[in-house]
Amino acid sequence: MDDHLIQVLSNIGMITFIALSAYVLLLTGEISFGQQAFFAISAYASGIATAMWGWSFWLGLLWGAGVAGFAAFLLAWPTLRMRGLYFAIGTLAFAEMVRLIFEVFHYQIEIDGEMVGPNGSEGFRGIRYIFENNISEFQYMMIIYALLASVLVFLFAIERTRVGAIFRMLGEDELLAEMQGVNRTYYKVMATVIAGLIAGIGGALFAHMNTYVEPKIFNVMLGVHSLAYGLIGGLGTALGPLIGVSLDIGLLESTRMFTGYRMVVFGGLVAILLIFRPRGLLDEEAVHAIRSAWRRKTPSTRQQSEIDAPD
Amino acid sequence: MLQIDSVSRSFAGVVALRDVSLTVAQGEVVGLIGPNGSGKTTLFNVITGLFPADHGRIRFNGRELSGLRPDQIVACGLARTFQTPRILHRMTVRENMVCAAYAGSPLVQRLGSCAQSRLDDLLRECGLDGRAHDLAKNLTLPEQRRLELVRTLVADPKLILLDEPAGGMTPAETKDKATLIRDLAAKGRTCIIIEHKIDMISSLCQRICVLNFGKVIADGTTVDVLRDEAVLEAYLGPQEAG
Amino acid sequence: MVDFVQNTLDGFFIGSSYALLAIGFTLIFGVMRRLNLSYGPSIMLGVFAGTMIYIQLEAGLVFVACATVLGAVLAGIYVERICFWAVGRGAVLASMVSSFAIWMQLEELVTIFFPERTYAFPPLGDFSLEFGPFFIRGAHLVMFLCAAVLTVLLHLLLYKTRFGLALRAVSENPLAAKFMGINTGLVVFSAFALASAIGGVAGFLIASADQQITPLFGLWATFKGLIAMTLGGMGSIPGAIAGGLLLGIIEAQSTWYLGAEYRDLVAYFVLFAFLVFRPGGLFGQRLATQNRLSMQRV
Repeated sequence: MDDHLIQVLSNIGMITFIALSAYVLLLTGEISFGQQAFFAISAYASGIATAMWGWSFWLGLLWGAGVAGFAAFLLAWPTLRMRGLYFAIGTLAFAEMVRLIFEVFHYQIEIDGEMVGPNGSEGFRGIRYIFENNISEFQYMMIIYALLASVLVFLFAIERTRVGAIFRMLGEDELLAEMQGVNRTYYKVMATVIAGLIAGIGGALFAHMNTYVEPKIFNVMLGVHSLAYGLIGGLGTALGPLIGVSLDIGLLESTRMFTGYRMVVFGGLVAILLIFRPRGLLDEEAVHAIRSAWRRKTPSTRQQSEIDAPD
Repeated sequence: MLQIDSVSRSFAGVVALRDVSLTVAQGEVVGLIGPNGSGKTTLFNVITGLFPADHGRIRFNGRELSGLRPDQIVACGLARTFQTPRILHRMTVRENMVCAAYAGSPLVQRLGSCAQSRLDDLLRECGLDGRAHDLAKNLTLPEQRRLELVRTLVADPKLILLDEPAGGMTPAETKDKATLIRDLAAKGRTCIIIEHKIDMISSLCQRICVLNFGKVIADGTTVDVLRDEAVLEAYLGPQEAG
Repeated sequence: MVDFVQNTLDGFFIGSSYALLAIGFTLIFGVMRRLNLSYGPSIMLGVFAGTMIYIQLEAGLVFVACATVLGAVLAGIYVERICFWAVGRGAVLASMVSSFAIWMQLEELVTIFFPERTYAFPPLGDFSLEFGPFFIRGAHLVMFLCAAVLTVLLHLLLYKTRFGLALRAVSENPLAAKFMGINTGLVVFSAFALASAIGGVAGFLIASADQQITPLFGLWATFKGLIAMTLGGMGSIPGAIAGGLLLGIIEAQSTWYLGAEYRDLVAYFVLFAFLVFRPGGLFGQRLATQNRLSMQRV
């Protein structure tokens, strides 16, 4: 595989994490403009762990995702009462606060005669674990996709069990869910934390691949893009965000189709798509249609598919 | 079973419920009637914890309900339907049932085949089995109301609050619905039914409670209440009643 | 104390342009109950149209202003048709994401036609006033006066004309307005055009105070308008004015006392605190609790 392809595929993988994180919240009916905050928090936290404290990559990744998840847990409480646009703007304000705090965040130590660490708006250089430990770009891409696959499997598993059913129920009708015995607070907080963790994994991967992060990267644009990817791909399945990211980064950016006019074309296509499919390519109805077709085709699996009903 | 003790509730100065007291015994089917805006649905909302009561207390099977969250109240064995059916439009009929099953039993992470077949049985009983895999938004209104009713049964509640179960239905559909509710009651479930169709109420309920301007103006056996002067007055206005 | 008053004055004058941005935002939000992320970028398109005739034709201020407003209105109409009119009523999220897609489109269009990032914009009122220890930039004074005049005109339009009545009816309850025989589609369309025109004026004032313009203006205008609108209370016009002024003053004070790098941080912090403790903003508490539509979700 050539370097360019590896680069593109790795990018698709990493951005999919943050798109998935926005998607989890969309399932519960909330629009978040702020998932880039958890991406950023984990990028910094994991970078600090490996580059400054000398931790291993995996430990750093766990730590980064954990810190992001904890930040999400803290954010979940004040945003619990915000609904609709208020939630969107609240998460936006939070994410911008996080970014602006990183703009003034200085924490550097000397390693081998060189200052390493976050240096305000100058950014954070020298997260070189991958290169120092001779992990090739191809290997790193495989790591990204292995993690992405695990997250997707986790989300599919969730959708087939209680938690997923309740997330979707909250997304459609919160009051009804409560009236049937769902503890709203508990599941809302859970969704926010899961979303934070997923964005966190992506953030840690991002920091180590780029070796350099700066607060500017994590601006609102990243958040709105990740939200858009989930919607373009469709809200019916966890594959939606992956489809959205692949369409944008994979198809248009990487093949250098419409160079210079990419957003003119892509923006227009997205707008037209949303006129006809306001819940994305693979929305709930499309998923339902596919599933019905599948059921008709293979009557022998009918029993099985019924047991797996609440996707 | 359910004891409502002088409950009051007002919204921005408008009194919606004024000292409402009502006791429902195990196995009873009580009709709750009253003109529009008399506070019937508000009473349901207060019982299920959607709005807390300003004064008064509600006990269910000896347990104090005031101060509990809606989901905790529902977990005590209550279930309700809504005036305009609330169903999950983007899911299939069966998925609606599955969601109800998960929502009502916090410890179950995955439904076993036993629970699954119980859902199918419930759907069959109310005649929705043919539509199990259709999206719920494609159901007709009577079907939506039936789905709502059967969905409340998933959690096996002791008391069911039905808010206009035959609202917007034709006489034939109303009759079907009444049969369905009668079957429920025959199995020993307690019901409180809000309905404007007096025929349906009088055929289903042994007892009727009448609300007007947030106050209980009559409470007694169906025959007595329907003959009550105050009730006629509330429904038809003072001139005709005289 | 002198510093504090001077900062408040500066913030107040700059805030008047935020107030204009917020008014446009709140008008659209009022009739649609949806967020138009493309609001800033469509203003940016207008400002670049103004810059173009300034650079190419060396046109006077009046023509530049007209071109700016016209460009903003045309872009606003384009956004309305594609992201709001064509997308079904229930699809809040789709409209929002679609307006974001159009934002990207507009931004790229501008960078294609204006490849150098920064362009000059004609200055406005190159003078300054001094009152004792206090000092006011002429551009800011003009900005404030224009904003005040525009607000008065808008008030007259909303409360003294049939169109204003229709617009208020639609923002109160679109369905009821429709049954009363109001052409809601036309009202929404006109509200959008009106909001874009107000945004165009704001864009012109801001660009000429800065005397330059970059494609980043779109992002900046959208978020300044959004923050000011939320601070004041979504859907409330007095709120938009108060929110804009408040935002201007907060920014000026935090820049002075904490440093420029803390300016936005403080603004977002105040915004977040408002959302947690007083989601209705300064003036919109009633709107926020009564109008469930603003709580509408995906």
